[in-house]
Amino acid sequence: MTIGKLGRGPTKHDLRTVRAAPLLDAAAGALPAAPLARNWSRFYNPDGSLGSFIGLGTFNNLTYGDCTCAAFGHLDASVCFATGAPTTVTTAMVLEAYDAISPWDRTKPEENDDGAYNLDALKWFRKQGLITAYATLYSRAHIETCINLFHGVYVGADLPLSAKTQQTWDVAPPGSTDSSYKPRSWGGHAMMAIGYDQKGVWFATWGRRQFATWAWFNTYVDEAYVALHRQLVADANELTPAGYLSSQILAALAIFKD
Amino acid sequence: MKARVVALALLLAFASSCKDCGKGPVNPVHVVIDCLAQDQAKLAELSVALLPLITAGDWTLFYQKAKEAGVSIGGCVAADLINKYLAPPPGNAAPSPEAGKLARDTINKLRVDFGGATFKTASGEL
Repeated sequence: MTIGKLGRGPTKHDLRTVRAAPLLDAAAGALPAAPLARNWSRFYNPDGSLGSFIGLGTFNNLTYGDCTCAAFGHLDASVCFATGAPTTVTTAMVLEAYDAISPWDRTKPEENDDGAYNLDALKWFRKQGLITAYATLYSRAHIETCINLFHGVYVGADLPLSAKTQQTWDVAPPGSTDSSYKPRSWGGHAMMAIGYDQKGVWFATWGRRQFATWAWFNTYVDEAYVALHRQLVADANELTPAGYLSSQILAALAIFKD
Repeated sequence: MKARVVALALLLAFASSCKDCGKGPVNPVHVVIDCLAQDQAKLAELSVALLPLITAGDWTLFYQKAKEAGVSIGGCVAADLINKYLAPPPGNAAPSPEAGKLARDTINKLRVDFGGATFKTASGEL
């Protein structure tokens, strides 16, 4: 199991950040129902079954604590492999972002490699035009809806040490006093959730997929954002991979006005 | 004496209002049905019967037939068909929000009938 670097600072709050929940609830009647499972970490075959795995780069997150920025490379892959568009986020772009939003300097990469904040990465990638909007999320239903429609939910998690050795990230057994399950006992990490089913969530991280149960998600994830990738709204008359016209999504996206 | 009568009355009142208290908390075990291990011929047969009901939008009959078939066969087929309906193959339009909600409501209702079961399939746990 490949394990890379962590590097997410504690949740940064900005009162200007759009809260998606009340807006998604208000638009519930107009939003499509999410399937019971969606997995953008794989291609879909013409018959609707799951096909091969998409490529997920590491974006140097095995070497540097740039996870807050590498996650956008995974969102880009999740969207572009499904739409057939060329991917646009490169390792150089991720490192440029990490350099810009943290004390880390590309010319002295061994120094100040202490991570960054999710919110700063969101702002940087919106400024670059990769994403056109973002908003905070809280409930599982909204997370399912947003993974289905927007191919990813950007999360910040307080990883426990237990995650280092678990194949599936899960919470402590009932009654356990094992301190390795303590939130942030390992550190903070940013990831893109690009799939889900009724058991849990597929994260893209460190160049691979990592499954976590919903109980794990509810315990260790303490910030989640939907970020709208520009490719999904590039052509209003085009059917997105989830089966909706971009114009339909744009109509629902009045919700992301800020 | 008066105190004993009051205590007895309180005890009787408590006992009569708490019929289920001695049974302990109800913690239903989460059942996961492995659909890949079920009788595939039976699954296919029910799929053929239920698919036209989705096309016709007859969710009432869909629900009845799936429930009659039981959790292992009916639950697996219903979950799989509804998931494919909500996540159609690439290039196909997904159902409208209203139609999708009916499908979601149907599987939610069946899940309640089947004790909260989830269904392990090639598409994930549904």
